[in-house]
Amino acid sequence: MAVSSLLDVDNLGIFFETPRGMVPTVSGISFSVRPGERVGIVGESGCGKTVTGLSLLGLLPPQVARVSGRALFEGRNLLTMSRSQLRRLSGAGIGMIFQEPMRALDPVFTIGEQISETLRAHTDVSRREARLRSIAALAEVGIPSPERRYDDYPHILSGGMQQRVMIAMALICRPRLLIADEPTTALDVTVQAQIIDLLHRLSDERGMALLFITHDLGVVAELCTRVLILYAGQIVEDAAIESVYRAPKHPYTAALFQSMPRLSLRGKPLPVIGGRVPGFADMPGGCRFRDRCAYAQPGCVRKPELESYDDRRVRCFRACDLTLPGAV
Amino acid sequence: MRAKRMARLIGYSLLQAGPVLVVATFMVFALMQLVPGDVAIALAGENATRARVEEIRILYGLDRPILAQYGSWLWKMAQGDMSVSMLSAEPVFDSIQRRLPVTLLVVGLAMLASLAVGIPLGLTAAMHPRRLVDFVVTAFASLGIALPGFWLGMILVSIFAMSLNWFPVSGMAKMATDPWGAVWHAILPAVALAASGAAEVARQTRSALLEIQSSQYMRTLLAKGLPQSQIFWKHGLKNISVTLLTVTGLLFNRLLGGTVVIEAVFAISGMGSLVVTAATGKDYPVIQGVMLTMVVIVVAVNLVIEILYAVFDPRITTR
Repeated sequence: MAVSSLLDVDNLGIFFETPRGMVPTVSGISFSVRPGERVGIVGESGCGKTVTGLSLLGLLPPQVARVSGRALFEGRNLLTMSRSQLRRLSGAGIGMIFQEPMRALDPVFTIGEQISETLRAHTDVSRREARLRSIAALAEVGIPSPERRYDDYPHILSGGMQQRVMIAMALICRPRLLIADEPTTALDVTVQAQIIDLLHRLSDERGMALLFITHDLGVVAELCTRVLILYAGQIVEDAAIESVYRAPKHPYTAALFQSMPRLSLRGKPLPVIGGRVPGFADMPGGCRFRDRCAYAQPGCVRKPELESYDDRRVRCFRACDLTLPGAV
Repeated sequence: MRAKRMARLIGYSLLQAGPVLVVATFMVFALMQLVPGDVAIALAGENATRARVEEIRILYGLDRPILAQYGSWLWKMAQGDMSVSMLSAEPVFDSIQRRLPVTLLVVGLAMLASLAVGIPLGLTAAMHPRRLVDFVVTAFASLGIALPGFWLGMILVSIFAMSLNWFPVSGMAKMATDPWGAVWHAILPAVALAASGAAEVARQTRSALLEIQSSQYMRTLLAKGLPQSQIFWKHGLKNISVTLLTVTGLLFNRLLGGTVVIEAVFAISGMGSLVVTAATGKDYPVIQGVMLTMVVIVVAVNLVIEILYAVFDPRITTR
């Protein structure tokens, strides 16, 4: 497994220094991504999915964030390599796109310049050559008349176009992995679908792996082949898309499906997960979901491990004996 | 397209500067109207005969409606006819022409010093936030803002002019015949004037760069693997340039006001000392002339800065 995987994250932990001491935000995160595989990371706000993505490229604020564990990309540990090694890998081997494209682009440089400089930071090409290749990249992500758009500033473009620019920029050096941190959350639904299609197509054409971070289970179903469900800083379920949608094994996954709006619920109140996510500073021992879980038992005060069942991993003592409703 | 946008912006800025100039010049003109009692009597001086007062009234056009007076006053001013000083009988335009370069030299040197010291200090502090160098710069900045310029001027004179004899104690050399001497004379006053300016520039630069460093596009630049030097020198500097422009504009206005005190401390005959003498002697034509000159300079500087904004920030367009 380790040989064939592109990214191998092992026991990743992220801590934040606060006035009250070190607070863990994610702990014991282990997963791997094979070349060309599209993996979704799903969870609600604050579950640690975004910091997980940022930690891989060393983008967490260095003054307050501490990272432990191992994240091997093509056999090299991202978490311990030097700044300059990580810099050469960022943008070239691993690309990244973000939630708000407007704020992720530098407002005072043209989009063309921002794409070209990425290419020129990693390859030895002339200014002219960089321009031509950037225009080609803009065309490939579906930006109309790219020669003219090259000299536009980001604020002139719509959100969807800005995200396309971000994608063109992240992919200009043909990375093997793209980390996408909620890239469609800030966009209209129709634009969202276009961006998803675009990522799907580019990943297929280039054999590029995708780590897609989102809170939207529907988007993951369209795009990804495998999904990691995060709850309170831990992976609670890791399974292929079909099996998790057909028959989730963790009560939290099932509860997420139940709280998705659908037509059969017309006129009825949308089921919600009662209670709230425990804070990281006072995380309960044992199963972190037990206070909100409809299937909790006295035994759940012990700490469940992420156990393998068939082709999936689940962090629940009752994974074998529960039959939970899925989304289909 | 870029050229067209710039042309439109310059036109727009000029349109905006026009009304500002009209209002400001009207206020300068209105100064005469604010003189307590009858202006003609004030102008005629004490012990003037009734006939002399009437003569003055007609001479200065004080018998005409106020807008007409303003119009002809503005027209005269625009042609460089600023009438004569009531104290020395020297044409106001001549004394301004003689003194303005001196003030501009001091202010220019002070601007240069403020920016040359303030920007690097602010950048250094922001690059090492909450480290020793940051604390030192922040402390220096607070001190620089708190210290009065005239006090610093006196300290500088006693150390560098009187004890060490490196610089002249006071006065100014003739700029036309001895330009280096003039610069030499202007250094201490400029330093005294620049201290608070440098402090302000350092503070603004620091906070602007810190804000930009925590922005999301800085994270993108890291994620795409740009070298640190390029992130800082290319993206960082261009993004803080708008803040720096604003600071520069405000700084210029402040330094221009600050010269009044500094010129008094260093006994420099510039615009500041001219207006002080005029104000104590109720020499209204001189006060008006100085104010008008200052207003025109300030409006012109702001106009240039307004246009430069658009060069550095593509988001700024005509609304």
